Amino acid sequence: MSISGQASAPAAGLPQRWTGNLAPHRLTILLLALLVPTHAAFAHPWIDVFGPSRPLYTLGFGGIVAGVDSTGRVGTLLWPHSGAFNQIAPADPANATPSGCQWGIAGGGKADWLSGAAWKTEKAGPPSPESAILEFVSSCAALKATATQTLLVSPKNGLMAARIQIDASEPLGAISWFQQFAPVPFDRLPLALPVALPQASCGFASFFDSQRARLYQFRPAHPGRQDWDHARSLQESHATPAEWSSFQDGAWCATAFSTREITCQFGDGEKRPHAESAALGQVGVTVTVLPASGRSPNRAEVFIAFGRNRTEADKALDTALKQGFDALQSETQAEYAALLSPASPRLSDNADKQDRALRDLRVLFAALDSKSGTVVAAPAAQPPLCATWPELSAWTALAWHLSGFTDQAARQLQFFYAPLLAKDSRTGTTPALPELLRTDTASALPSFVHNPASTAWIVLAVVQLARLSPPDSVPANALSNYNELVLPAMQYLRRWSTPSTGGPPPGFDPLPVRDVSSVSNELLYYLGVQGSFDMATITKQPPHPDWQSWQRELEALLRFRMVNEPDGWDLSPTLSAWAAMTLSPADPLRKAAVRTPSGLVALGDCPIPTLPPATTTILATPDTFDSALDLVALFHPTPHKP
Amino acid sequence: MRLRTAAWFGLLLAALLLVGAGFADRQLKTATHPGFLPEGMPLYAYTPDLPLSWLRLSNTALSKNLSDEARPVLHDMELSVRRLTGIRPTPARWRVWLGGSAAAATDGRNWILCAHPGLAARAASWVFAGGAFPGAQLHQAWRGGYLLLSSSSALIEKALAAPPVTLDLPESLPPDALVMELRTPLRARLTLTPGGQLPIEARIMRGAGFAPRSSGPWKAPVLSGNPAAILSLPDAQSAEQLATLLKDISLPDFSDGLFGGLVTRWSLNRLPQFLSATGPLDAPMAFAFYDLSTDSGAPLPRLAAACAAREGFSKFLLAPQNANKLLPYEWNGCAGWMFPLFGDQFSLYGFQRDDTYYLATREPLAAALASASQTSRPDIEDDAVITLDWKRTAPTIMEGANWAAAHELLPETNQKDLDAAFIPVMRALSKCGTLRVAGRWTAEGLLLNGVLADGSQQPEHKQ
Repeated sequence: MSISGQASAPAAGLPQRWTGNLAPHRLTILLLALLVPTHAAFAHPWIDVFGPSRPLYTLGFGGIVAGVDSTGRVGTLLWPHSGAFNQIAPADPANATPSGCQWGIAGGGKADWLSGAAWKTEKAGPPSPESAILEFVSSCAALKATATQTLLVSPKNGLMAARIQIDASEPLGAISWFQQFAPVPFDRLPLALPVALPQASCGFASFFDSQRARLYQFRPAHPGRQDWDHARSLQESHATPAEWSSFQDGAWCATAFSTREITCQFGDGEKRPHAESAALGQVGVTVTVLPASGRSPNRAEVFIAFGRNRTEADKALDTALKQGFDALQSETQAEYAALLSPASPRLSDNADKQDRALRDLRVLFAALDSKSGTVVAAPAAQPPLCATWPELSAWTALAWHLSGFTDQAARQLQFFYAPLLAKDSRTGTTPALPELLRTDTASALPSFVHNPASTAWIVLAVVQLARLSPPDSVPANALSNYNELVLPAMQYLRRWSTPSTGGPPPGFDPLPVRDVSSVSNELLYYLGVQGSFDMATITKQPPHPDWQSWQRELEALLRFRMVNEPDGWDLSPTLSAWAAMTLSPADPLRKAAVRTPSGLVALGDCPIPTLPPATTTILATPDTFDSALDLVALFHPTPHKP
Repeated sequence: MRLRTAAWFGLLLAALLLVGAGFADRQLKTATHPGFLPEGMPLYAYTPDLPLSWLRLSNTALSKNLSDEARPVLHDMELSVRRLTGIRPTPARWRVWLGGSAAAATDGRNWILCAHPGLAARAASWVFAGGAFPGAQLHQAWRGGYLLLSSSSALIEKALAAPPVTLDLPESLPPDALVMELRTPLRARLTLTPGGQLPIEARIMRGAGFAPRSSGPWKAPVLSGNPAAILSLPDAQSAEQLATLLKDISLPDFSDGLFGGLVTRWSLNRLPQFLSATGPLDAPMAFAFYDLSTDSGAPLPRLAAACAAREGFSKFLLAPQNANKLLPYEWNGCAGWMFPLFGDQFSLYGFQRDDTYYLATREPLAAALASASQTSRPDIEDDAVITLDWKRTAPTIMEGANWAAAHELLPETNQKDLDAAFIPVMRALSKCGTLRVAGRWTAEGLLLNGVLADGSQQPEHKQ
């Protein structure tokens, strides 16, 4: 929508009258001066919504997801799936104490952590592109030692396991393990704000069961004053482990080692070798694994399991301890290999791009919530972003489809069935589609953060997947997608469109952090209407009678911009790429000029952004958005010509 | 005969002993200073005569409302005191056991009380070898005639080592007055006189750098529509000084992420400078808070502001690109504009009506302000006026607190805890009428005088 000299219609429902006089007021000027954006754009619209994101190596697939940094320190762990809450307490930059979960070497009354300056990482990441595990090799010149860490996550068993092997020319101190879990029950009310959960919401108590040589860190559901007072009295009275199970279910984290010869020290300095100990709140725990005799004195293995209560966590831990690390690793690898098998034909077609595809698929599978069928944006990052949005879902569905995971692509689209078909009980209309959705379709942002145009991405994804099907056949789920996604999405877009122009209303833009009118939203509307026509043709359904006039209105808006904005359009690279991929060759909009870092480019020539090639052995995995784009570029390098 | 004489003598002796004991008790209870409390506590409180304050407070409307709405809360508090001390708390029993003077401090988790008791507590302490009250949960110690009671042994030890507490007490402090001194995040003192509408005097101090206002009376812009709270200021100097005074209050750190971007991209960190501009914005202004809604998933306030117009406005014109961002609006013949922020739930709607500029965050509120009947505005001599309608404020606070509790954002507090104590107290407060205070700048800060709860209902904002 443009207000350059013509009457403009606000969003439906708001009264307005053109006064013909925009003589500004003093207050106006000062307020508007406050709101002029001054900063460069985000790399992706929503990736940094919770704060500058530090990507970590991804560990896991379809269940628990962990993010590991280049030193082997686990910084993020989402349980029970990628859309859930981070169970690890965030690091405090002002505090020099260790954070996350990591190995170290005890000596001189303190531990030398592998994330510290004394250790240098030689190698990090999966040992091979199709590997389900992560391996880190670090060396310490002062100790003349090399440490090899192996980490794995078993989605089947709902646990994480880590092994360290130290090779040193001289005897070393005992191996130490640090962990600071701050459990969060997965069924707590999600916070619809782009901020991390505060300390009050995470963690509750930790205690050590010396008889079973297990460490527990947990939080009951909705703890109140009574629970905290009870926990305090248990701590002060050095209660038995059984007494700690008196709290109601919530989130429990149980840790055990392959040896029972361990001592435990809590963050408050209390050290009770082989005796019960406990601490309240978010507390770091250091476990010292006493040197074992035998062939591998410098090896240690830890198993961490989760559950809603102690019994569940213990059960998973018992299974893992019985199985052993090597068997668990083999089982996990076999599961992962089976998961990747549908991609084999595609990978064999692109042998020299195989590593890249496997890296991207690794990220997508880690981000996948197997229950809902959607991926989330950056589960392994710090801080994690465990939500999705329509554009991410569109690119991911396309990436799944092109990689050979057609069922997964269908499930990604079906994720939006529920939000689009929902009805408000009072008004009977579809509630506003959230900008960021959790895996249970709840909103990750307040409802006033809303851009109706983003819904068009759902239509674009449905259409593009249908177009990629063999020309002679109508995809099996095309008709259901048309009825349950395309039609509701188009009704939604129409309901929010401006009555006089058919264009979108001002929609939320993360760059200025407020509603704006933009050519991106108009183009999305246009592509959506055009796509719905195509979808009607593919499914042999009559198009809605309103669509033709609507398409003409939108085309007029965009043509007006083409003529009157010679400096080019400001579009995101991904929207430009999708438009280039889907606009017909004869569409005049392909000639629209788009501003890019390298100058003006015709919309029809905009490429799909790709990731830079991996040039070093140490490269943190990209986020889901980047990986999806990369997969599409890999398997669909030329713009599609319908 | 001799027996009768002996009986009279015995009675006389008993009477003399009683009078002597009473005199001794009274002397023992006389405190020369508030007492000994740990240094560096965020909040201190003191009263020269707690039983008298207590008695007079119990006769106020606030106390009556608390009894009606929060009876279980009061009962629980009484029971806690009884369990700690073995005594059912009443003003008379307090005076017998702990005397009049009482000073206390808290860090939010633990508390400590310092009293100057008379014979009863000292005798009990002598009998029970140091402890005036039974119970292991109550830590006790004596120092120089003062009895220290605390929930924490660490606080007792700090108080035993500290010098006599220095409080910024007002001159000629009435015996029933309650003084609360806040030391962090900002330095402030509140003196409450129990009785009637609960008159209060508050002083917010920041050392130096403030200047009393020198200009004459002013008229505050009217913000109708039943706001919950209104702040009216006469000029830019007052706004700037108020911003300076409050800047020590640290807000949640949203420096990263979307909210961090919001503060920067909206230039909210430059807002105090804009408000304190000594140019054409140097005019009487008012800010109103109406309510808070959590329907969107996050607390969203409904706000309005008004500012008296000044001459020389026409030379401030928007740059063409900024003008294009406005949507024209009109209410009740008043030309205005709309600047989209977050849809219709929170955007900026502005217009001018006669000699006042208005700004609102919701369109219906802007329409109401444009259509409200004009009322006469009296002259104001003070430097700041604050009005808070408890009937509308308390539900807002409850909604925010309920939202926070449901999302487990409150430390060690869940919904059940709120319902047990905080919500009943808020309901009692909602029946207390209106808080009205007026402020004047001094060289050290802001001095406020007014009433905490006038018991009246406030249909329209009036100055």
